[in-house]
Formats: sequence, C-alpha cells, structure tokens
Amino acid sequence: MSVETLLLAIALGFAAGALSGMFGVGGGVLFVPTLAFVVGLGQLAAQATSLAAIIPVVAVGAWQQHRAGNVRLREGIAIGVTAIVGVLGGAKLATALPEDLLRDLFAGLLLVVAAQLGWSARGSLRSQGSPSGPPGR
Amino acid sequence: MPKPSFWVLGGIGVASGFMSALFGVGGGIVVVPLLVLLAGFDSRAATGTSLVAIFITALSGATSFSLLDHVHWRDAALVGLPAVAGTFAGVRLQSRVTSGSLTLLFAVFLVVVAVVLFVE
Repeated sequence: MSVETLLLAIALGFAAGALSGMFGVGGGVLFVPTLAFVVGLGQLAAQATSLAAIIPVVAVGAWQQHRAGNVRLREGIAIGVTAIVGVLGGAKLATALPEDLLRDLFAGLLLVVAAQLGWSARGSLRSQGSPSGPPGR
Repeated sequence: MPKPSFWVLGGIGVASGFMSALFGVGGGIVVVPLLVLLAGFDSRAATGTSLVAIFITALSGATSFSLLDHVHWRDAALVGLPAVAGTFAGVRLQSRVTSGSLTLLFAVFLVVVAVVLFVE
C-alpha cells in the first residue's frame, strides 16, 4: 500500500467518524466505500472489514452514552445477543451472493439512508433553529 | 418508560443482525427507529441503547466473517481507529454546525456514492 493510499484511508476513517458523530449515521455506511475504493478490497471483504472497524467506534460511543445516562443496558444486550441469530443468516447470504449484486444492494442501502437524512433535514429546514436529533445512529 | 417485551427486542435484534451482516454496517438504521416505534423509547435512549446492541452485533459479525477469512484486520484498524478520534470532533461540531442544509448536502453525497457503486 502506498503512502498516499495510507494517508487517504486514515483521513477518510477520521471523516467517517466525524460524520457519524455529526449526523448520527453509523460509520459502516462510509467505511465500506472507503475500504472498497481506496484500500481496494472486494465488496464482501470491505463489508466484513467494516464490521471490524465499527467495533472500536461503537465501544467508545456506547461508553460515552452510558456515562451520559442514555443507555438501557438490559435492552441493549437483549437486542445485541438476539442479533447474533440474524448475523449468522446475513453472513450466510452475503457470502453466497455474487459480489456485484452485493455491491448494488449496498448502493440501494445508501439511497435509503440518504432518503432518511433528507426526510429529517426537511423537518429541520421547516422549523429553523430547533435542535437537531442526537448523534450515534 | 415502558418495559418492552422480549419478543419485541428479539425481533429488533434478529432484523438488525441480519442487515448488519448483509451490508457490513452496524444496524443502527434499523435499531433506532424500531426502538422508538415499537418499544416506546425516546430518541436519546434509543440512540444510546442501540450502540450497546451494535457493539455486540458488530463483534459477532466480524467474528463470523473472520472465521470465513474475509476480515482484513489491519485495514479495519486503519480506518476504525482514526474514526474513533473523528467521532469526538463530530460530536463537538454537531451542536455548532449541523443544520438542515448540511444534512441535505450529506444526503446528496451518499446518493453520489451510491451511483458510483451502481456503475462500478
């Protein structure tokens, strides 16, 4: 990996964290394109690696939110543990699909997130000056 | 705040875990709105609680893909560790600069990335 690629990946990682802190959109949405286009991973490897990259980000986020009193631990753990069942199914499907289709599906997900953001912006554009939603999604 | 049933939480968990592993994202896009709609959480508690769920989800997802040899751990650290520093900057910036128009700009950026992904 060249020095330029290395620095660009670090910068985009930092930007992904900053944007997720600002807009409450998780880092994964930005990690996957960075890992695919800049680092040069295939779509499946980019997605799998994105999940690993999310771990330290949410660990810090969860700890901060816990200290701020915004975490209901029992419910969070219940969702996370049952999520493992879904993860096994999702991983099975992701590895079975052709990477082109996986990439198109991911692009579709980006459009959904963009629509969600657009919808929330519409609300805050109408009522200027009202506080925006909390970070961390 | 109401106490959601195990079935509601489990349903949210399975759905978010599935999409997390399928797309390589945390699953907050699913968890946060569902906690608000189905479990009666306010958005602050939903966001905070979702992070605990996502931590476990991402850990299990990364482990599953790692067993199949798809995780590049060095690259994960390369983007993930700077992102931790970035979140501090982002949260600090949020109260000052986040506005409707900026959110819209970010949405447009995501659409551009999506189009690039489609044509790739």
